[in-house]
Amino acid sequence: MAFRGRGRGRGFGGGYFKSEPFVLFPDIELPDAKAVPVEKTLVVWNSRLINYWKASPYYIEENVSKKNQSIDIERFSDWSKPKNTLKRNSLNQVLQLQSHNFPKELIGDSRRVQRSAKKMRWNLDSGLEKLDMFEKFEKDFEDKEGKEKKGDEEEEENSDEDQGEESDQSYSDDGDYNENEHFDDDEDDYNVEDNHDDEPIY
Amino acid sequence: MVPQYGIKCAVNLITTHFGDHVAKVCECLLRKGPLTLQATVRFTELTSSQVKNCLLVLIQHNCVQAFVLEQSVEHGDAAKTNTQYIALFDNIIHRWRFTKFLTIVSQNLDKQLIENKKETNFKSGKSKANSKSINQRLTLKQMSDRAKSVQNEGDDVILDAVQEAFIKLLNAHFIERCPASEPVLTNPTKQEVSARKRAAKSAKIFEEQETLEQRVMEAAAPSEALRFLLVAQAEPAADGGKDETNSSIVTPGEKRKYDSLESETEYGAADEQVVLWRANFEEFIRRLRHKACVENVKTRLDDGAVTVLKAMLEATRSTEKKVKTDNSVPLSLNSIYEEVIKSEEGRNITFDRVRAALIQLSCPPLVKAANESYSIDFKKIIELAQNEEVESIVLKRYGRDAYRMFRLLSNSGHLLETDKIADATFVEKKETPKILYKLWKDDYLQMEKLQVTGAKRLSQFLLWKVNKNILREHVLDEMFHAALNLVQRVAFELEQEKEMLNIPRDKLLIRQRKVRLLLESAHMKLDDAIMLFHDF
Repeated sequence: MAFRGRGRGRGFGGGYFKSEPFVLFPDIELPDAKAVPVEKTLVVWNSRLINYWKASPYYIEENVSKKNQSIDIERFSDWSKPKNTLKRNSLNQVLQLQSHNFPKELIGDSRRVQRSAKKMRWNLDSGLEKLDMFEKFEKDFEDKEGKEKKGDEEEEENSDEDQGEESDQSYSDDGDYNENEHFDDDEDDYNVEDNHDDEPIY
Repeated sequence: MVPQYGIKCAVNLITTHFGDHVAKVCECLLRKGPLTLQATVRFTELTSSQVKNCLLVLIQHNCVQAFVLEQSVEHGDAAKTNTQYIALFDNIIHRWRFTKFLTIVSQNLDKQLIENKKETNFKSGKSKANSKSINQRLTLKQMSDRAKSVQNEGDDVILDAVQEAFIKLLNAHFIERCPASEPVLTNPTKQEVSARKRAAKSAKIFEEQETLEQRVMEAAAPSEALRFLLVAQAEPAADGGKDETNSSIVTPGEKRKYDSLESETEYGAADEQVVLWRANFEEFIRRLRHKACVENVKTRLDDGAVTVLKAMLEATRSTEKKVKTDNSVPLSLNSIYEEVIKSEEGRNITFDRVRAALIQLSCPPLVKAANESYSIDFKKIIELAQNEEVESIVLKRYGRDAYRMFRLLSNSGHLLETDKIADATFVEKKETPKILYKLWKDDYLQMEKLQVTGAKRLSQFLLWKVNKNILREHVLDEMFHAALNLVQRVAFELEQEKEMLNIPRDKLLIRQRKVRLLLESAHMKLDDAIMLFHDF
């Protein structure tokens, strides 16, 4: 009795509305897909720009305190694992001119240390490789169509190694100097473990 | 007036590029208008330092402009100056189009390094080029570091190439000096205020908001003389101390050390000469506008006319003061002919052919002729393009009959009665009100009811009209809505890919690639239409 007539049982005044399940993208009749001019260069370029911004110091992330961090106990073996963290350049490094090019109140109070430009990494390769699977796939697809599976497997292995090497390099030189008050290593460790452990790296 | 979905698109864009916090600040400024720092902190519920960082990022990327509104002095109090921040909606939406701007650069200036330079500009928002020689190398080094990642060449070669590219970009007006960081806006005098009060209240509010943003931009913009001016490198140093640093060729690393040894005096003096540069969106939009005009004319007339039009645009481009000019600068027939011959397509065109093409272009009046000189009527071309766009929407959504009726109303420009419409478009009298009603419900038409008493009967007539301005706003909002849907769908597809582990990887990637290409290309095309209604 109770399960019959869900709509009726809802309420005396509100029973006029039929509840529809929420669909994120309802099916609609779409026009012919071939009529759209495909602009490959624009799209690829755009994705490169977006990946750059995501890895740049302009992308301001939430600052999660260290205490709410990893649930897993940090093991000794974890130290030897290469950390796949996205090292961001500090915002202070990239906003080089802080004096009369920005309003005084934004820069006046906090002591913004002018970091050396030498320490900047312009290439952001490790970040780009992770995020820009699109471009990688472009190369695969264009080279050999038949050997695609093989190509992908190799790519996965290479990217793993590359990331390991690169993060080692970037850590050996700058290490502590690059860490700044806004950035939190542990936080990214946690996120990386959460998102990428189950899947092969691009 | 910023359309509602436009704001949503802008916020989505900023979220993708810079994260949630920056997007929150941006949304707050877009919805609530110019705010002070404290007000922003209060509304966004973020910490003060977070908001400051976000504002810095937004200002760096030209999405927000700070300004100071002087409050009137009363009773001998010191004038309160509060820095306010206003979001620049247009500049935010331009971020969709950076790749199109980059293509313009590569088409016109034709160099790999220039593209890289431009990319750097877009990526960092503003980059500096100091007028002091050593510092110029230091800061150009920022750009050259990026260039190095593409080409493996020595330092000096890179620096020279970068400098050359920079100058080329400047000459083409693709880059400009950044506006002032905190321009001061004085309050209007009492007379102006009272004059505004006399105007209708809604109009006053509407105008005030618009003029505030315009006033801010005008106050902040560098003067026309300075805007594209690059001061020559060799400048006599002010202090003896600086002489040494200027003359010696030191590597950037050493220079930095030297700087840190010196105290604030050098740093302070160096400040004044540092110039920030940014991409000149105005020029890019102008070029896209011209391109759109040419495309539109291409669909109507033949190649000869198109070549002539292109030549006229090329000749008058540098004299245009603002983007949305109604007419181009008038040109005489001879100068048009000279310009036509210069271009590749027009090399073989005769003088008479040019004259004939101009006559072709004057009907419909795309080119106005007056006293032997011709000027392009941009407003007309854009209007025609906009009309076509709207009519095609009506055709696809409501069918051919509705399309005919809409065209009739759009061309007549005044109220028409239902029966008259039915007669003119050969549609059944019974069907006509239904179709018109549908269009009216979706805000494409305006309706008025007219009641006439005559001969003991009260008859009611329905009058219909197309209001172009309101319609334009409405269509623009719909386009932003569509763009937002596209962008969200792309994001959704990307997320889906992470979850679909059962499908083999290569097929998944193929499908995802196709989907993403298609959706993003559709977005680019839609963006052309958005520009037609909003920026051109």
